Amino acid sequence: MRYLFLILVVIVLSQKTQILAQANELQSSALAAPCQSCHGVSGRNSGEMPTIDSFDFLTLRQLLLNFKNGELTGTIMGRIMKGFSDEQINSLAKYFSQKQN
Amino acid sequence: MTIQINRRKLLKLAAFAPLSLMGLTQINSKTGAKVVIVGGGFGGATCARYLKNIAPELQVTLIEKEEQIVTCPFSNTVISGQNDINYISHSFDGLKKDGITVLRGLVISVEPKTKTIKLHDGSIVQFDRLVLSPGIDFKWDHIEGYNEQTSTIIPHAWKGGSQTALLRKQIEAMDDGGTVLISVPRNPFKCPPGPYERASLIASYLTKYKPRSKIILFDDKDKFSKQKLFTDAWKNIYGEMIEWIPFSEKGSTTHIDVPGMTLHSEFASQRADVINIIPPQKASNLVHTIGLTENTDWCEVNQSTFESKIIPNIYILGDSTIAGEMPKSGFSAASQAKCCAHAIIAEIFDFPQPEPSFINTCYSLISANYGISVVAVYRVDQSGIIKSIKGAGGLSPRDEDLQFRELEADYARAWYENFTKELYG
Repeated sequence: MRYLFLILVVIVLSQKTQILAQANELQSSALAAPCQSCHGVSGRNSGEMPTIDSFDFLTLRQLLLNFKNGELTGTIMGRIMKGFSDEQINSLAKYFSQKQN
Repeated sequence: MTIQINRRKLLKLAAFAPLSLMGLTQINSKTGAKVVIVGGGFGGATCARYLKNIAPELQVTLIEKEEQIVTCPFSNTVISGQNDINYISHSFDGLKKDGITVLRGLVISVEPKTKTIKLHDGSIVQFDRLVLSPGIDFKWDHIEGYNEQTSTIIPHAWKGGSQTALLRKQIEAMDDGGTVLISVPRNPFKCPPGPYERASLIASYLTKYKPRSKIILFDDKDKFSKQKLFTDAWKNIYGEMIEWIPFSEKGSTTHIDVPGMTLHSEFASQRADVINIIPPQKASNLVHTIGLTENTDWCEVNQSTFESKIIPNIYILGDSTIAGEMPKSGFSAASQAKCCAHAIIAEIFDFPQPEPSFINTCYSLISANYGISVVAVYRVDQSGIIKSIKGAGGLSPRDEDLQFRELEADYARAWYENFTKELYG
């Protein structure tokens, strides 16, 4: 009976962890969503606009940071990335690097 | 992302520990919630797709009065003959494939108490949450003589479709040496740089085929969006072809003499061969009918969720709303729709509300190979108002070279194609 209770606690906790993970995922998705209008759903697109789902986390994060600090010049990406904190850039890089096919 | 809650597992767990899991079973019973969206433009279509793709168990219905969407963005490329109208026409097949129910119908009334919508054919649609993205309507007769009827002779072309085609036809039929007159309203109106892009692209057509012609802008304001970028380019590319007459020189535009093809303002009159009146605007008549405005032209909403401040469970986004500092644009509407979809999901599934983040990216074409842009990143401030982030965003630099302008023109086309693919593809 005691074991059964413990197993139950573990299951409930894992459910709660799952819910928490989903809440975080919802937050990341809300932050990343506006990017997808230009770069395509999940960062995959067509045409001249660069695709962003083919980078690993560290590369993409560095790329976005470089746009932000002006080391990388583009047409509008520098102007956009200045609106994001390093923490938010972290979250964006994580989100799009996990969308890799 | 996709939210999937394993129902069997939950029911099993609930049998063992009903108390601790009550919250979750409640969430589970809500997953089939009916969300109805009115309007299939940039705001509505985006909202429908994001809701359905993040939470497939939701029942998402989109109601749209037209068979297909003809977008206002890029309609200036149709007016100038660069693109066919099919280029800016989009069906709802992509949304249907996602499992969204698409109903063709005109909303007659909404009953918030019974959560029902009545359509023109008498049918009733039930909702748990209602999202309205109905766009703008015009303030007819604000310019005396300009109304729905005369707009079939003097096009506004500020809604995509037959009006776009009409203005194109008139410009094509005009003789060399003719005058095109564009009347521009004061703020706020849909797509603030749109009239100036229109003048630019009509000039690109006229330069090629009718080089002795002229374009005059009759503006009801003294400054406009991306002004220096536009006027620099006009001078360099089109010489004297485009003339902009500000409010301070001509006063308010007062009336149109349709048979005489003359537009009058307080201090000036101008005859033309083609006249395009972009009338003053307000939120769609639908939101006024439902009672979502209080003696104002636009809807007041909670700017973090887009829920109406007047009627709960009804959300309004896009051109019909006041969204802080965001301009009325397709891109803004889509960004708001994404925020709204996340907020609705958070509410239905009992998640904390995600922090809203918005972007507006707006390209204007001055010619096929000359593009300019303005961009802004927005967050909701402590008083609940959407504000642009200082130090971010802004215009294309004024001193850039032609290569940069050409790149932005290419990006403008890619922007449109990706954007519409995300919505309708």
